[in-house]
Amino acid sequence: MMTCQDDLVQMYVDGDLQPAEGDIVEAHLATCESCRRRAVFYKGLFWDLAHTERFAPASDLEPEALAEALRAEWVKGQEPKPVGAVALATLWFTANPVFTGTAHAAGRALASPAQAAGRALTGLGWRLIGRKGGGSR
Amino acid sequence: MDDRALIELCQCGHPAGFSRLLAAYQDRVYRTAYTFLRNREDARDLTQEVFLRTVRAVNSLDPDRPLWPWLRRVTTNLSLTLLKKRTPHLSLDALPESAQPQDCSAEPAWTQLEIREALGELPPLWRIVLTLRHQEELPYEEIARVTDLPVGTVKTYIFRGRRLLRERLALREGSHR
Repeated sequence: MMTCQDDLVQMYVDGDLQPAEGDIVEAHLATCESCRRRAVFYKGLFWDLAHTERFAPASDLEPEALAEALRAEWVKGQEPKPVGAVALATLWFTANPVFTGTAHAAGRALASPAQAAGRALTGLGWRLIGRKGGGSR
Repeated sequence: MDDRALIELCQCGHPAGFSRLLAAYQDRVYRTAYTFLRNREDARDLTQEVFLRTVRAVNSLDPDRPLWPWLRRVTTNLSLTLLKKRTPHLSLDALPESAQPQDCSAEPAWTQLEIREALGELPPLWRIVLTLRHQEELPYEEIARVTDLPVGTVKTYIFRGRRLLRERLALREGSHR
């Protein structure tokens, strides 16, 4: 036999009990005037608690101004992120003609002897081939 | 306009998206914040912050999922942060003792003002979990997730909160006689 239990009455009114538990509470409510009153009380209370938002006073927020602020916040979020120092330095060096000119000149200076050596070796090769050819005749 | 269209418009930065987002949810966020905070200025400031955070996170929002659970979560989290900052005793260790339930009158009869005042006398966390339970109809586990409280604590706050409200309202009703 169930004794008066406030938590169980709350759960019963809240629909939070298993069917078998609900049957036990219902049997108790049928015989207990005090718990029956309690259940009626909670039913009214829960309804009010489900509608507490109506207690809030009217808001004086201006939707247009807030919409503008939200749009500005969105635009701020779309701005490119700050670039790292290494990336900036690389960009500056590669885009600066002073440095790119020097690099080209250095490249040319290094390339000239190599090209000259290549030409000399090619000439020597042709001469050797010519001698071989001349010998077979 | 459904949530999907709202989210997609906001993700594109379309001005109509922000206007319609506010038209759909500003009042609900404000009223929920007011229920938690019981202060008009705080509720207004918090409402603005909720929407600013929503816009900052808009690209991570899934258009296929309803928007309100996200807004409710941000509203609850920001409210709890504000309350904890202002009310150092809003910890689990310093719960006020609930009075023992008393027998109350035959029929529930209280005014809106009385229940509003009785709610205002509850500890803020109790009020928040009660609101999430009854207004938002969330299961205990979801309330625990949103408030970052153990499920057992959530249940304790809910049962004690209701009992305390019942007692307060019964006392008020008794004083009218």
